[in-house]
Amino acid sequence: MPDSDAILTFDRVSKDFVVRRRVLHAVNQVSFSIPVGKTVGLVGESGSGKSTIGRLGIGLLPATAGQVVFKGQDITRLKPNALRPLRQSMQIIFQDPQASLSPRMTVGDAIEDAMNIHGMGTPQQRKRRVEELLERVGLPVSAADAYPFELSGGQLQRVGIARALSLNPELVVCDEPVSALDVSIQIQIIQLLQDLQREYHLSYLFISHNLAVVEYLSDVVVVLYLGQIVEQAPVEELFRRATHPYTRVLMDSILRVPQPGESARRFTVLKGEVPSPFSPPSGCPFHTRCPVAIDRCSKEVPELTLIGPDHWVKCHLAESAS
Amino acid sequence: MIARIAVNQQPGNVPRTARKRSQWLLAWDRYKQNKVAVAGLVWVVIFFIFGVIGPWVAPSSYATTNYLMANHPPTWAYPMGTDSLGHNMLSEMLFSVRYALEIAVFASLAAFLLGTILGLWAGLKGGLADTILMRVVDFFFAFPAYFLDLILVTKFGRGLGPMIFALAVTGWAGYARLIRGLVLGMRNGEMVEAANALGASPLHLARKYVFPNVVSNMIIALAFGIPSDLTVQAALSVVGMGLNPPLPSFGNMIAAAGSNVLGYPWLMYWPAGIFAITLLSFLFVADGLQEALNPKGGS
Repeated sequence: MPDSDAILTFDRVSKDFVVRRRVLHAVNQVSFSIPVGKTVGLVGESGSGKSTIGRLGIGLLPATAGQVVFKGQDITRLKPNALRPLRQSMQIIFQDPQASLSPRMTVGDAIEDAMNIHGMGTPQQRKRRVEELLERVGLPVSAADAYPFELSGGQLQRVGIARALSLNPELVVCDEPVSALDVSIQIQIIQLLQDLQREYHLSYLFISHNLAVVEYLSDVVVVLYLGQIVEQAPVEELFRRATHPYTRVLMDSILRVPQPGESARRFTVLKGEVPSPFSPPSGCPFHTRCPVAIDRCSKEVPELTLIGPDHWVKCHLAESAS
Repeated sequence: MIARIAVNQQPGNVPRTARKRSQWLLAWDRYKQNKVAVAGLVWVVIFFIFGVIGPWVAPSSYATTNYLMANHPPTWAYPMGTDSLGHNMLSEMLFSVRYALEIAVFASLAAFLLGTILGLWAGLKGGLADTILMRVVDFFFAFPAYFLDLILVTKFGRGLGPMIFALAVTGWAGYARLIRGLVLGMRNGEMVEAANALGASPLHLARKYVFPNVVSNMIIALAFGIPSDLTVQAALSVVGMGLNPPLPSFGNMIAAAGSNVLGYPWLMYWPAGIFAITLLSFLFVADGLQEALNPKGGS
């Protein structure tokens, strides 16, 4: 589904890792695109390949197969030197801001170094911009002289955001940016990300294992299981009519206040562990844990099927229903 | 979309830093808090000063003997007494400081440089180079260092040069393993990935991100390496394989004094006392450096 007003398009992208001579299919034939100025939420358990997709999207990892297209340019096979100028337009915010900052650099130097690498402005201009950015993400200007270990997790994530913003990116990959933070801080950071998106017309690839956070922020949600897309839909559609059994189980994991008249909900709890990605199950990768699996599921791989407006599902039961 | 919740957007307090201070100044501030480390540093500095000026201020050469004054207790002429050959113990001590430092510092530096270069190379390059180098390092770790030192000293002699060589040969593997581990951990870490995402070139990455984050660990390792070399050097004397007499060394003096410690106790007190204080001081300094240079560890 290549899209002309998409800022980033994944076209049947796969990524294999070789670990001790065994091939791990981390990402398998994944296609989706991120429209300009929108947020695509990427959901899945650990090991589902969501972080790998984020890194493929901004060229931090080379894809094994398929194409990653950024603003009409195929970046899949670009050499590091050719990719470097593009880095300004695509940035990433990490899960652990403490680990992603050098403990030997002040916060101000860390942000300035990003601009320094790309030769942006004079030293004075950069200094001023560091101050502007710090204020924009809600930190006092004095934070510029602090070292990372002097700040809290929420403050550090603001620094990570400021550093990403310093390059004026168009696309930002947010790799679980709030998972490591206290719940009370999470909402602050999410709202900051929302405000910045509106202000700078950013496009986000928002990676999370938390559907509630994704629902709050995303326009489109992509659900991953073992490196494959199992369901993809606009956020309202997905939450109204989650079709894939895996998505439904994920939905059940969100705490909600029951609506008046709604009967008490029954929770489906997923049994077992995620199968080893070294030897994924035959047929549908989810059939080993699926509460409604039929015979066919263990033999045939389901196709991604369109079942509603922009609503794609990879499930035999959904195929027959539509 | 869910209705937006009103959230207090105050990110909390940021500690007041009066003005931007360099890492090294901050480290010095933390170092100064540690009184024991400061005391150790004072002694180490004095020790180094005597190491440099010792041979000039010594009242006589280390080889000068006065048989008429053998085994004499301290007097004005011989403030530390004399040994069984009538050596002036003060001169012996002053020259010992010089040779002990010369051997420990040069052996540590040689081991450190070799280990750092090989470790950096293995860590950054990876693959076969890394595997081979690490097997060699494993060999050096598996083989008792003291025994290897003995063999090398026996083979190449007991002068200053062979001693430095022997200690360097057994010392480099530890540095190599340390640096390689640090670089390897960092290469796959988020900090390097983040710098790559910013578009940093490999050189920029090495200079601004990797190096500043290993340099303090390297300094700490070197600070622990010097007292360790001092110890091994003295331990070689115990089995009679220390510096070749008449070259004086703490180990030789202590070993010689041991045979008649009740009769001529000053022969033991001076070298053993000063050597022990020196070793402790070096270790206090290394400990202090470790605390001061590791901002996450310092409170």
